[in-house]
Amino acid sequence: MTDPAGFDPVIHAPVRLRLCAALEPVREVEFGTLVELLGLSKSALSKHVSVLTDVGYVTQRRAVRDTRQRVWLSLTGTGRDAYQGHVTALREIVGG
Amino acid sequence: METQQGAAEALASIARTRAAIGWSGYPAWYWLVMAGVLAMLPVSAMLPSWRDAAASLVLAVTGVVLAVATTKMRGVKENRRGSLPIRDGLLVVGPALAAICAGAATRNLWPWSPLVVAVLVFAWVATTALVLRRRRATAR
Repeated sequence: MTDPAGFDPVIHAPVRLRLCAALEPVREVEFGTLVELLGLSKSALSKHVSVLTDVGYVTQRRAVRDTRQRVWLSLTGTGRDAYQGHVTALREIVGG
Repeated sequence: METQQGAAEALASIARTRAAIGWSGYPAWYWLVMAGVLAMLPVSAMLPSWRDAAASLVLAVTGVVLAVATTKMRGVKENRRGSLPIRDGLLVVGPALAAICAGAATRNLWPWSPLVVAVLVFAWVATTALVLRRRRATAR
């Protein structure tokens, strides 16, 4: 048997799945907020963000706030579709 | 091939993360001020009508300004839907709104009911929001 259509191995890795789940219901999240929320180190989060950026699922925007440069992350349209497809596939698996 | 159990765990992890992002970054004082704003609504109903309307408007604007200012500070930019889980939002605000309506309905029978309602609303909103905020704090 194979995984259902929409199942995305890039998203399915536990940290990347939580990362997408955090980005999906909002417009943008600051990198530092995600570090705290997901309980990861900055380097570990960066690595997963790079994977998602490379496949075009996540985009980064740099902005200055309080004289410090901050990175804001958001899901792209492709990333949002892929994530939603993946969640649907997971529900299919659970539903049998 | 993903197993049923693995998929169920993944969905549970998604649900936890979604709840966490909705509560993420709000300082405790934000919920105390929101509780205070909601608690002032029944008290403003004790004022003469035009003052009542003006006070309610000021409270509503204060709530919106506070929400926008905190959103900028918390590192999460919401979309129109908002990310706070609907069930959590209803749990915090629903009983408070019901109490405010009940207080308004019984105001003529018992003039002090708005004050009692204000205390109950503050206690309910502050307690539930602070408890949920702590429970949903991380997505781990």
